Amino acid sequence: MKRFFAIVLLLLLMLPWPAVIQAQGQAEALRVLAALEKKYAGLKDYVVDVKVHFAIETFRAPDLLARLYYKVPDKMRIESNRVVFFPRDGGYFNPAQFKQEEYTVLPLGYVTYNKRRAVQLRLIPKKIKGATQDMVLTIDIGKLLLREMILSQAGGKVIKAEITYGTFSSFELPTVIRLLLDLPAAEPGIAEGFSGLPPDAGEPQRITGEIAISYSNYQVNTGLGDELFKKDKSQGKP
Amino acid sequence: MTLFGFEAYKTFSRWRTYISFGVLALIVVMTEIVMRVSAREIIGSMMKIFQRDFIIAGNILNAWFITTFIMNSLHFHIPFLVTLVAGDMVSSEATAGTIRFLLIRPPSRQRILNAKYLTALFYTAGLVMFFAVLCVVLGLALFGSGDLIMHRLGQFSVVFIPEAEIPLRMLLAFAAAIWSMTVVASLAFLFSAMAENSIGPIIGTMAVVICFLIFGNLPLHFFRHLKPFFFTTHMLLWQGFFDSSIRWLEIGQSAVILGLHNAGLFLIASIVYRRKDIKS
Repeated sequence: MKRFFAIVLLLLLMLPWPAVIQAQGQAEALRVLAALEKKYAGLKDYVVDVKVHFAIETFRAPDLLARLYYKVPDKMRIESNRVVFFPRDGGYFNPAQFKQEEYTVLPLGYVTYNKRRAVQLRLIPKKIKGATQDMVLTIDIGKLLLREMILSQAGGKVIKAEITYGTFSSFELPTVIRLLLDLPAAEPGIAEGFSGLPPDAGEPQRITGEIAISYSNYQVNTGLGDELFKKDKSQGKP
Repeated sequence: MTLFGFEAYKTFSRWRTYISFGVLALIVVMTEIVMRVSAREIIGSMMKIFQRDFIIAGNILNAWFITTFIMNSLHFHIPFLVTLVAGDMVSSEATAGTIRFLLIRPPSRQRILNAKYLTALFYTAGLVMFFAVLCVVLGLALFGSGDLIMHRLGQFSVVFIPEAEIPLRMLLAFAAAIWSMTVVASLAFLFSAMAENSIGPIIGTMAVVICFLIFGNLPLHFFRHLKPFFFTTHMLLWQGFFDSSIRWLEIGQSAVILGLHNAGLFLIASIVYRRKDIKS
């Protein structure tokens, strides 16, 4: 009998525990993402007024006002009588963008975010469509809210989005998204200067700053037609 | 004033004076039509660095953007057109053989030179104003109005100027552009006072302008230190009106430096002209 227990003990010790723990973490991560997706499954479209405030030294613009139209899964349109620069990634709330089948999901662990328990997940797109190569999401587990998103993009760009929510038509939607930017000051090649010589002293190599987007006057699930998003090709993907 | 009237009449009654206006009209019309036809391509290439990160809505390619875009080439083509007349102002009298006739009349050499210089400045101002009106009017007709977006090509740097502020800034910018072009006129005028024919002053002025432009843009530390002393550096003072807040101090300094250039060049031209030997 003793021999039998010894063999069982030995077998248990030989089990790949880290792999089991990792698999459990993976399952938990997928469960949280699925729950988040399910929470917003009823959100088909929304229209909202946005105010974009720039606090970037090299981007001197007054607050820009526009109207944003969104429809699942990824249709978005910005309308304004004036010129508007609206952040393409992280600038608007798209709960349908985290489909499990499109990403390799890696759990990074649990953190405390605003005194609440949150999980951090790393999402690597299986097929890179836009500039984003890697995302780290911080999701409030209790409220099932995406609180923070760190986007790592091609060319060494890093964008951190912090999201504050309000409740509109029974959906928790952003009232403010703060984008903290850390970008190269120039395109590769231009940053190195003409003829390979260094640029003028004092010219920054990287641009850091903040874009704060305020959202107001939500109209949810009004049945926006697809034709609304086809009007202006200039707003298409790069 | 009468002498100025005569000189202006003489200048504007020559058909070649209008070559500059014609060339300028051709440049502006062709540029704006091509930009209208390939608007999307132009926005794509100019805003490339932003289009990856931003959705850009609204009329960016408007009359004001086009005007500032064309103004950026001001220091290349307008100096040449200015020299065509300013470089001919004094030397044409020698070429035509009328200099002796002119200088034995009662008005002093200085008064004659003043009238000629004023005419050169008047022509320069007229040329830049024609350029401004054409750019803006044709631009508004083809592209409409809107906020002005100023950016450095390839750099993550943008300045928004609200539509309401643009007309006044544009007016000030063109006034500054006229002031900067008067230096080219003064330089051509000086060479014209020295020369016996018109080709030399035109080529000489353009050579100086091109050399200073090249030196000012060479990425070598030696020239970077000298750049603030080149008049071509200060010729871009009009750009100071298109920053988020107008850079009055820099504009003022550049205006004074250009003014000193004008005064200095005209003074030398006066000395040369008063000592000019017309007997041999």
